[in-house]
Amino acid sequence: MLRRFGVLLIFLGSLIPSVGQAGIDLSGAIRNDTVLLAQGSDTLFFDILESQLVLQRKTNDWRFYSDLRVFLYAGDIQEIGPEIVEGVDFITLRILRGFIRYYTEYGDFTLGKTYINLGIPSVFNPFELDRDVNVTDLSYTKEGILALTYEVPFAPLSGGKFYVSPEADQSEVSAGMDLYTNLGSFDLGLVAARTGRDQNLAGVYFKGDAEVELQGAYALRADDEFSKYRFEAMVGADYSFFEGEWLLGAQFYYNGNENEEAQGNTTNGFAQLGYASFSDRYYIYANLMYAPDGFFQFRLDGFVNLEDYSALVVHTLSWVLADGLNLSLQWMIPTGVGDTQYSREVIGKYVILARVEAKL
Amino acid sequence: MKQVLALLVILGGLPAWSAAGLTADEIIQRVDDNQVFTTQSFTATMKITKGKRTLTKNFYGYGKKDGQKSFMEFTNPEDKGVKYLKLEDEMWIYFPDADDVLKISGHMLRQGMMGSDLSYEDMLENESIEERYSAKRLEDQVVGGRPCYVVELTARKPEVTYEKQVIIVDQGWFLPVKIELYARGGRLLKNMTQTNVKKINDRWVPFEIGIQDTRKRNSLTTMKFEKISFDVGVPKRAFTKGYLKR
Repeated sequence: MLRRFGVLLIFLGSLIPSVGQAGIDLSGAIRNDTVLLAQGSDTLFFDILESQLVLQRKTNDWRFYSDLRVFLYAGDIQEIGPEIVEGVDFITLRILRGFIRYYTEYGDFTLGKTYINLGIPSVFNPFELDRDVNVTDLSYTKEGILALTYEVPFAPLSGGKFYVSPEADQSEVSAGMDLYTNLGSFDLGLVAARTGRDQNLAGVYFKGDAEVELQGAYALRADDEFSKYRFEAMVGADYSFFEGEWLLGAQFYYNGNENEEAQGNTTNGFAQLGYASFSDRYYIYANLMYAPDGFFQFRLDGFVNLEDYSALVVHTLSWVLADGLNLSLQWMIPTGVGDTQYSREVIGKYVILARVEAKL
Repeated sequence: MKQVLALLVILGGLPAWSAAGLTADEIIQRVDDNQVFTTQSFTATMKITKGKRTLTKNFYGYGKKDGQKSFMEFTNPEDKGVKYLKLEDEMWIYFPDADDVLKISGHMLRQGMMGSDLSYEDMLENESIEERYSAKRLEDQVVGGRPCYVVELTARKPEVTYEKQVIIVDQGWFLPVKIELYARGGRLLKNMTQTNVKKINDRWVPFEIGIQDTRKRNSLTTMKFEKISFDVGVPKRAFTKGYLKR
């Protein structure tokens, strides 16, 4: 392990001096998650140190951007779940982004590993290609896919996004488009995509204001012959209290998977290091947040599977200790019985996570 | 000699006398006129202070049509690459890690921008003071040794963020140097100051703005502008959603 780490350090060390000379902007972050799992009388511990290195170059004509993550694991991680046991690698490297974006009079082209953002990001966005959600950090960067994208503006708030990618199920090509515009105080759009063999989807989405913030999306998924199809829909609202210090939000998700076997009960939020997916039929996500200033935040996130009534409740306290240095504590409580999706038997009694994050 | 002195007094006193005779609406008109611009560019530093703790944020940006359109990008390590686009009374934010654009709406508008005492709603104020408020002149004051008008503003429309404002306008610069912002019911919500005033192209511009949210204890946000330019070229398509991803 040390040898690999040494090689990595030498690689990064040799890269950094040349970065400045090439006009490349260097930034990044370090995040350490210390996790204490309490499962009955057995207490497990693990630690993840994540280093982010962002290299970027911006010119008037093009932009290069890469986001490299290095993960170091420590502790009894082999006890945590099958994913880690099989991939036992105490150092993991991942390239989350690595693309070149070229600007032309007729639109912007992006080539490389990039995030394909169809629809409006949310916990239950039916157009999201990467459906897993990191419950410890809902805004955690999603890994991009190799793709060529083209984004063309029609007006300041209207445009079209198109992508084609070799990363698709059953070795087929994935391709899609998102046509978006703005009407009054609402952003809305139309999505159509093919993400692999027998995986076609089309739908609409919106987000805007009508006293409260409202958002919704509706998608139809079908096979190539259109003989099997299902609907997906989400609707959500957000409202604030006490001059914006308290925020309350809720989303409902319907996954009409009549023609497919429900894939629930496969998710082990903690075994997959904090990731959850929503493949049963009905879910609710609710969020309460208290943010009195820029230095402290409390939030309560709840994910409820309405098929088996299991739930995952995440409490988070965050402090900004200094410029770029944050500390947060999380207490995650699963509820449910037997092998329900979020049951304690499946994912433990509770988890406490301490996270320190520094941006460089 | 006496006659010369008398003439100087009369000539010197004339502008002050005529200015002192301005109505509240005329003062507001002059303040609005001072804020008119075609295009604008700026670089600034924002300090958010709570007690002894301070956060520092750096940003630059462009504005167009008296601020109805604006673009901002943060450059400090914590928020590097975060961009804002404002078009009239709507805003969008770009997150570099996600490489994605989100509309700021509903519940987020009352939040402080980047945790500061300045809310997104404050940034969305577009229309001139005259369009949003009816004005009443109060007794003049002297602020920092300079004579100032005091004008009380009452909202003409219910959708205006602050029901009432009291603005203290420098008589020479026609620039508010102090602003008190009140909620419905008369509760004081925020105090603003505009200082370090410099003349750029025949207009007076504050290079330092202080905002204090009275609901937050020991809280103060200070924005210091390192550079402000007017009637400058701005990047083509700077005020479009697509530009945020560049």
